[in-house]
Amino acid sequence: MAKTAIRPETGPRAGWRSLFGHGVIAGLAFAAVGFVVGAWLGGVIGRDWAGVSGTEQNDPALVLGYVFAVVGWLWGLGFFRYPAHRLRGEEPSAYAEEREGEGIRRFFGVSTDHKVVGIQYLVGSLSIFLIGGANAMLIRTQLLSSDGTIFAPNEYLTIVGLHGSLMIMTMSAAVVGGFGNFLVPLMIGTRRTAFPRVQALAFWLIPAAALVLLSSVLVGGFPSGWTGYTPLGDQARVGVNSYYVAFGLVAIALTLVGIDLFVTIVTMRAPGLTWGRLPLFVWGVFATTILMALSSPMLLAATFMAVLDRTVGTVNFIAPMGGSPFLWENLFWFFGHPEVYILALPGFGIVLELIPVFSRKTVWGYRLAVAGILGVALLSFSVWQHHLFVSGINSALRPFYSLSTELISIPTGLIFLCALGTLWRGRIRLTVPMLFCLAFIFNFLVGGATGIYLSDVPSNATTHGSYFVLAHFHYTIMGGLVFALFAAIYYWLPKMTGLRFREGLSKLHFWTMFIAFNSTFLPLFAAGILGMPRRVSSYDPAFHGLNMWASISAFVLGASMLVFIVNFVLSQFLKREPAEPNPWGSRGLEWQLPTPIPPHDFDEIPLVRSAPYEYGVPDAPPVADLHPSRTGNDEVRIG
Amino acid sequence: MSSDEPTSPGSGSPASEPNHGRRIAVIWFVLAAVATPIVVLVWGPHLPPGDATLQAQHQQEINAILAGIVTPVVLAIIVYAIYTLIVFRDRGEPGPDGPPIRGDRRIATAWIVFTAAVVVFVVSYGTYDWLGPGVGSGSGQGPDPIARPDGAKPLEVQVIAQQWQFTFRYPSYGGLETQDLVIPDSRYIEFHVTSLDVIHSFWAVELGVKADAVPGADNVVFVLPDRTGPFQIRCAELCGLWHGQMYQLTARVETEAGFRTWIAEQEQLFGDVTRYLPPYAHVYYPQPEYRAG
Repeated sequence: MAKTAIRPETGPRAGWRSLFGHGVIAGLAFAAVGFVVGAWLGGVIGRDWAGVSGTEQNDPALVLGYVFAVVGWLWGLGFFRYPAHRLRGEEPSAYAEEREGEGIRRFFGVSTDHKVVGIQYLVGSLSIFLIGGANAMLIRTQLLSSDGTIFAPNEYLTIVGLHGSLMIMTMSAAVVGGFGNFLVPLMIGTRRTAFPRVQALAFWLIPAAALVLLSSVLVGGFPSGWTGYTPLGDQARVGVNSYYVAFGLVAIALTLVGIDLFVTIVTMRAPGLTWGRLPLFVWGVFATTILMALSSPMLLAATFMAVLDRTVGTVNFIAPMGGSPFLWENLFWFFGHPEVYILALPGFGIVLELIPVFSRKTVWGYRLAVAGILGVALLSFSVWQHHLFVSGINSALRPFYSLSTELISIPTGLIFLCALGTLWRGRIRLTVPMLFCLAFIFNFLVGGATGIYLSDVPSNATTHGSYFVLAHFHYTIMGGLVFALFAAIYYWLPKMTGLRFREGLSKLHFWTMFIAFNSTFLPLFAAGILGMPRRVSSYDPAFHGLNMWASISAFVLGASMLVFIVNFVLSQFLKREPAEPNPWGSRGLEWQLPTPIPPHDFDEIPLVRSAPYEYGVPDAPPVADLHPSRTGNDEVRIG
Repeated sequence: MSSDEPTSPGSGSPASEPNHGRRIAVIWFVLAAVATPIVVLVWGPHLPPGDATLQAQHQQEINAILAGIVTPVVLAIIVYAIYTLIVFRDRGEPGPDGPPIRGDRRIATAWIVFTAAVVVFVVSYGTYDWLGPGVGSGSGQGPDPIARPDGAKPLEVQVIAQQWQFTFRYPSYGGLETQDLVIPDSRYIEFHVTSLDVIHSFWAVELGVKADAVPGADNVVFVLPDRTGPFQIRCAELCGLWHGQMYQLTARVETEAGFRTWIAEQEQLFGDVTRYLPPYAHVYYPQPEYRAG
């Protein structure tokens, strides 16, 4: 961080005052106070409204409670100190919790160190991922029997909605928030992102959103799934407000993280790091940030309108009074389909980044890969109505949406071509990260091939809204992004924490996860196309065999996550073995730094001298000059 | 397909090394030549949603065609990947990194042309099918369908969805409302799908019909049954608590005579109720549900 203009705070708070310092505890306390204040205020405002009094359904109180709780949460964390000081005309100061530093405590408060924020994101996302996964286990438990006797319907639908919402939330944040924040500055040779406070704010909204969403179980749950379709969402009881507020918070967080990393990549690349030398992971993140910054505001608008419908009696989505349920569908999917690529593109970036390292080859067709990534991002804005093929909107638009959807297979095909082409004549090392990358390719191939059926209007008539869709998007998101996420964890965590994973447990994790994943979701394609709709709590007994098979496989899949947790806890906490600084022999700039990475990342801003994938290239210069002032290269400007 | 594989002639391989590109092509060709006809010709006629209606037949045909395209492509990628992983795997012998192959313009061009051709074919054929001979191919077309059957006027049947059941109205029988759905074979049925509360989706599985039921909206879908028999109706859009129980197993396609008998029975049973129903319309706006404020 540039420290010249910043006045350090005078020492840490002493004695009893440190208990009241800003941090998670203060955040939770302030949030609780905020909730009480907001709920009281909502109660006062709504006291005489017909829709509130006598119904036990006090939407304004709950929504205002959430809003004030979030404000309290941010206040307790200390987000308002900086703007307050600036408003009073004081010099900006670097607060203790915002400074770079050592020790475990920095992870439990606001930090503007991109490495700390990255790890906060990863731990937070993986925690949410495990809760969402536990929900998936409950879903598969219910579907062990065809008559749905384990959970009541409202419980089951809440579990389904929580599973979908938590997974979308965590997977949007995990790669870009975790690895993006941690690695992008290291890969482009800078010491921070463009807006470190915005970066921290984007992270701390995610736990708030998760807690708001989970709190819906305390107020009756919500029946409307992760898509929150109205009028069902309007008809539902108060618990659905948790969903709308949580997704609104997620939308703000995604927009902020997108803007921060976009500006960082555009403006803060080290000298010599031309666009043509940018690592493909950074390209993947770059394309994702565009999608985040442009599509997430639409989600915020939609959830805001839905909350207004529920609280102050607007009729945005209520058909008999001039609104339209189609409006929600369009607004939601205008966000929702780019969102699918917010999930997929970082996965593509990880796979394209790792395959050259483990094939010991240059990337086959670097420019094609970049064109593929940007092509997917561009097209993703024009496809959303394929979610509405049978909805009854104007069917004259279908050929366009069918074409735009299918067109995405051209840039996706380029990414496949480059990933596979890089294997050719390489020296392929089947390490654990590489295995996850190869599994990504297989799973995404299945996901992409089944997507063709969904984009085709006649075929879509049967597959739409069925378990076929469910299996399709689990192949692309779970089989794609989650496998890429684990590839990234096994690849980069030794750099991030300086500790090695256990090889045997890692391989066990991979093989159980890969086999159980395919065994879970392949049968569900069949169930769907034969007539099983999504989100049902009971189903045709004819599908009992398929569902039993899928459920048992899903439990094995859940167990494979336990293998990962054991591996993680053993290698990171109980039996720590230090990792080498560059165990994979990677040319990536981030691997040239010492392990652990010093708080300030780079002693000097490096001078990038060549592309990161020049494996096997005779006379290739090292990827960067880390001390240009010593080598006298600091005056050189390349590109 | 061999031209789509990233071979690199003249990249410095020793003369004794086999021609990997040709080997991959041969393995792929043998597998694809065996698997593709089996998928299309043996499995194809049994693919969902069956052949009970013209629309289902068209979907089945397209599913088979798509399977015929997908099978060789997926096989090509899998054969290539497994081959390279076996042949080019690092077995620990000392040696240099892989050769710096940065791409191949011909392969890239061939790949783009191939994927673009597949896209153009799939989209044009699918669009031609539902606009032309498939007559909507079974998916809901909204209030003003652009693919309509020629010839005799279809039998109009309204599907009314509400939490958590479907009911049916027959405007050509005075707006009679029934709890079961029975349709005659050998003539077009014009379903008008709407909802009284939340969004549902009318999925007549064996008919190959799916159309969302949206409150305040009319969603038209045409179907031409080809033979008599029962079919299932399931709700395919999350509609609240009993979504999973929103199905009907009593629906069936009858002969023309059987249909007339059945509708006469229904008129006996429910005919008196019709005058208490709202007049037949394509949408029924429910009472507004007032909320706070």
